[in-house]
Amino acid sequence: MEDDDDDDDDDEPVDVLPKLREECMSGCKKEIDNYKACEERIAEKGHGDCESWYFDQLACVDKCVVPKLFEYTK
Amino acid sequence: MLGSRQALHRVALGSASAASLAFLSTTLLSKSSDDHIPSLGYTWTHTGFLDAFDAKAVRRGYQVYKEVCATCHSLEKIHFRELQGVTHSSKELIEMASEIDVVDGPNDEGEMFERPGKLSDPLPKPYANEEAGRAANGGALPPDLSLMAKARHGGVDYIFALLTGYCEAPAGKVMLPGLYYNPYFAGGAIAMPPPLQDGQVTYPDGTEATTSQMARDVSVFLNWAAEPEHDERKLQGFKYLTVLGLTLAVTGYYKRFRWSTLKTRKISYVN
Repeated sequence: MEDDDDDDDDDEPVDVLPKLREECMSGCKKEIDNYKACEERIAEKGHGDCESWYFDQLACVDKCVVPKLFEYTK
Repeated sequence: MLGSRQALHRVALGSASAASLAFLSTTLLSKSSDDHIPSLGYTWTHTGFLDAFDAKAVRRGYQVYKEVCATCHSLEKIHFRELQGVTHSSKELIEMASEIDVVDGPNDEGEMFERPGKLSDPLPKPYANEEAGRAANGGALPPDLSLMAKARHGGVDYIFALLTGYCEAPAGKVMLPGLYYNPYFAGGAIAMPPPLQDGQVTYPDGTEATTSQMARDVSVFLNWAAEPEHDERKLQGFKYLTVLGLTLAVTGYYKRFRWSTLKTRKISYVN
């Protein structure tokens, strides 16, 4: 479903949302670093979960994506 | 006067507490403390004080509901007749209703019978009852969506976020089998698999059916389904508030005018 390198792109419509999210990740370095640090911490400890830091990351990306997303839909 | 031994104690205590408090540095603390993330406000065209639903979106949304969601989710409170003038014309709806079979009765012999649907019938339910719905979905009943836009914090924003929000579970989160991770869903583990894929539906008006587009349309449709009075409500609200506002101004002026005699009265006591 992810073949967006076709010659004619009226075969499969490609959603812009994943690309927007990736672009917005560049503005959330602190949150991404915190999450990765948490991942390493729990890998060492063997227990625990990183959901809160994951939420921080997602919330940061959302703040960037949400105002822009509907420009790409009717 | 502190003795040198007491001073040493104090220094040791100070550095120990500084070290133990290091875990409170901002890079380690997370800001989120809930079991889901809130959905932010998308730039809908119908959320303003004087904005009506995008009729084209409601129509496309009905198509998405019917082709994708109606397999599992009922929309019991909506009847075919309520779609008249909103998504389809009466003629189209009479035809659409007649395509389904509805159990009616009892007839004069006391038997239930099947007949083609009419405008007055509710939209067809995917499962006959709750038990059938649970049995077909691993114990989790797909909820009726008639009022979902009003029944969840975030409303239409929540529905859109949920539909487009599926992602990988964070490290360390234990996911039971059969559940999918969605950070907008309370608890994070939802029984519904991601329902939308690019190109799943073909819109007759040529709109590109991307996941975001379908999610947007079905969210607007579900918002209409929960608040079919929406457009009329806002129109009447505007009219009434304007008229009452003017009335307030006129009445207020008249009251102040009449009371001015008393309010500017001076009383003096003479012995």
